[in-house]
Amino acid sequence: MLLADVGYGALWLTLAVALWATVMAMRGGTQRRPEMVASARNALLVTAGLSTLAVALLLILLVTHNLGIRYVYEHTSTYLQPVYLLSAFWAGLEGSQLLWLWLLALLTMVLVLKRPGWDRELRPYVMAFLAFTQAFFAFLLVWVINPFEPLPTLPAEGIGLNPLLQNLWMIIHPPVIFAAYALWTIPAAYALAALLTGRLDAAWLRGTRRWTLAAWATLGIGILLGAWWAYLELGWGGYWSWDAVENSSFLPWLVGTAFVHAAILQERRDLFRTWSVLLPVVTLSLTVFATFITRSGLIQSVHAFAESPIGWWYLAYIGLVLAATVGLLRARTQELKGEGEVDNLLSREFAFLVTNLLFLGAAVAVLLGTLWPTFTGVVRGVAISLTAENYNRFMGPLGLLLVLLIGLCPLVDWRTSSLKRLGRNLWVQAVVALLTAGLLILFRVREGWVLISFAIVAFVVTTVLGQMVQGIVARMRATGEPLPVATARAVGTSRRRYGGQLIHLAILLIVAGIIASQAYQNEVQVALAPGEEVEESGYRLVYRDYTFGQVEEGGNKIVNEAVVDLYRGERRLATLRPERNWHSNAETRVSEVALHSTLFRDLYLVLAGLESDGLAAFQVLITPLVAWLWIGGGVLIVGTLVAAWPSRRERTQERGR
Amino acid sequence: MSSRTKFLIGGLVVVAIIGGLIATSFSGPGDEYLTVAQVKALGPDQPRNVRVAGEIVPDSIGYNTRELHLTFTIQDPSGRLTISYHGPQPDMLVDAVEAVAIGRYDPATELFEAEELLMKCPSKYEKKQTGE
Repeated sequence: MLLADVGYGALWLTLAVALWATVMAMRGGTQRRPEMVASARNALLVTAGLSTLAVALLLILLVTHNLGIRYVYEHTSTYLQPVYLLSAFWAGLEGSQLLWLWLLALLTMVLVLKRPGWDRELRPYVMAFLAFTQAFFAFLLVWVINPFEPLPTLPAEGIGLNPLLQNLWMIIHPPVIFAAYALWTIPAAYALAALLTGRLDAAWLRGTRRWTLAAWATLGIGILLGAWWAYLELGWGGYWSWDAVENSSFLPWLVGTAFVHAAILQERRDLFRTWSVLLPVVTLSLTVFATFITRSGLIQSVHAFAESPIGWWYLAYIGLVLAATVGLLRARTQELKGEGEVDNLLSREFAFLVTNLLFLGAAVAVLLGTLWPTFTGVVRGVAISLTAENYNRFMGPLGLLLVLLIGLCPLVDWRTSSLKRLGRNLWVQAVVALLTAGLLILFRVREGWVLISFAIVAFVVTTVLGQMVQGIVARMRATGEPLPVATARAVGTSRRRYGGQLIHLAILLIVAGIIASQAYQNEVQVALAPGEEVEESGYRLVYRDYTFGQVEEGGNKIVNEAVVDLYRGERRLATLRPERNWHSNAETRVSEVALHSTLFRDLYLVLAGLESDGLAAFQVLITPLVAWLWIGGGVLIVGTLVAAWPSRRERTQERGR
Repeated sequence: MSSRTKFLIGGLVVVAIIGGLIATSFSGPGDEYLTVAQVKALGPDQPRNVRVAGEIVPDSIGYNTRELHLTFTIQDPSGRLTISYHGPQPDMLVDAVEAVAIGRYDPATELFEAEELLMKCPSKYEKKQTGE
């Protein structure tokens, strides 16, 4: 148990050193004592080391199957595939919060290792807040959720990892989400530091732009990975069900997106400073709130969580941070007045304002919806849970308005614009939108909302692509460069612009995927004997063979598998092998769906039942454009990299410092 | 009218539209959580779906592969109720697990015809979800 004791000791030390760093950084900042700030900086390097040690020790305990530790016992077994020992690390609350602390400590280390530049004055307070947040997590790990807690007796075998989490995407999804949560701490820390020092001009926004972009994109990718996991593993053919857990990671994304736009508005026009400082703090609070709602027992969720009083600690942290923010906002009313003036409602400023109101409106609605069963339970005595339909009814229109704004925003000018000018810029897109709708009608799309949605998407795609092409063509004309060179140089000189446009294209791909997959899912449920076949949407599925009750993993896993050949006409596309296995130790059945994915549609095959004589029940789902969600995720990463990559000038500046 | 006032009014109009949209979506058909006894007291012709949750009674699960028809019984402190569902049997639907059924009750057959089933994770995995 020595390793566990060292690990627990490392967490205690992390707590002590982080508290020291908080006090030193704060005093060093207010009393202008550089030696104190330097001490805080060193302390933060130490917490990075200590938390790394704790992580390494827990990992060793997991890998060596040290079942005397409760966490290892509860989340692994000796026959678990080695790669999933990694998932076990963040399968439980203790491990996931240790991961969060560790990622935060590493990011803090990266930050303090950079010499202070523009943020010389803000830096001590940023460090103080990051140290405080580290101390908060270390306190929880030491006091409430000790991952190194020993068991009184040594069990012979562990409980094992939930088979649903035994999926490669589930190894990546949680760390990406927690990395995003940890990343969001940094813009929030700078916002609070800017408030404390009164340095509320756009300098802090420019300085933290890359952290913000990284946090924003990482969260988006984390959510998409979760959707992908749900699609592949949960076997119902969908990727999003408006469950409390999904909502809780979507909320910070919505507010974070509003912040990204608010930051641009302040940088460009020095408007709405209050939004820029408030939104990152709210985003951070929502990342912590996510843990609160899933752990407090307040929310009815498909994911049943152990109810424990730990949830209230998270609420206390949020309360403290928000109270401090509100107090500082009141103290800084004068400095929060930006120099920008608003002119006309038909202006880009107003378009940005509406964008942010829509994002925040969506966040409020999702939050209300998540808490709805709790509210109605208290107020009306009967808990009423919102259905996906309820959510779609507000999220659909809000989402489409936001998409429309992506297309309209570049067509209106800053300060003031005229309808006449807007109309002149609009007609190409309008024609494309109408043509798209016409084409869809030819392809027998009849639902009004689908036609309108795709017309809007087509309109916006035309605007965004048009803007990108215009920039490149203008450069070709001006310099005489060939297309590839002009493209590379145009993107190279306006990274933010082209990166932003790529990100918008990614969102449009995802939106198109969502609309199509929500509108047109064909389902057939059928029971077949070996040799029988079924046809659906131009596909032919021939049930060829099966395996019934094959014992694997030393009796722990009983495999039932069907072998189905997939044809289109006479051409065989693939051999699908859906499984429906029984995990004895976990006493759970786990379906492994078989998927034939193409650019335009996915065929999703679930083995719903298999009997010993080979009679098999199948569920076949054919869904259009699902792949566009994942492709959009890829484009989103590329766009973010383009937008965040430092230009040559910035790189020289960095080196020169 | 000053530009500031214009922005304020414009913003308020947008907020009002969003508020209205939320209000109408929420007043739509949400599902009420009822106990087994409350469900059994329902008459025929229910206007909308209800949710009922309970622990699955051991050895009550039956699955007809030919028909893809699932039946099982749940119990809560107020009684027992048999659920009928057409479709694949959810993975986590096993004995002693807590199930949530969404659908309508048919007093004639005394069956709850579920349109959707949700499973809570088995208790031994309660702590096993990621802490998102």
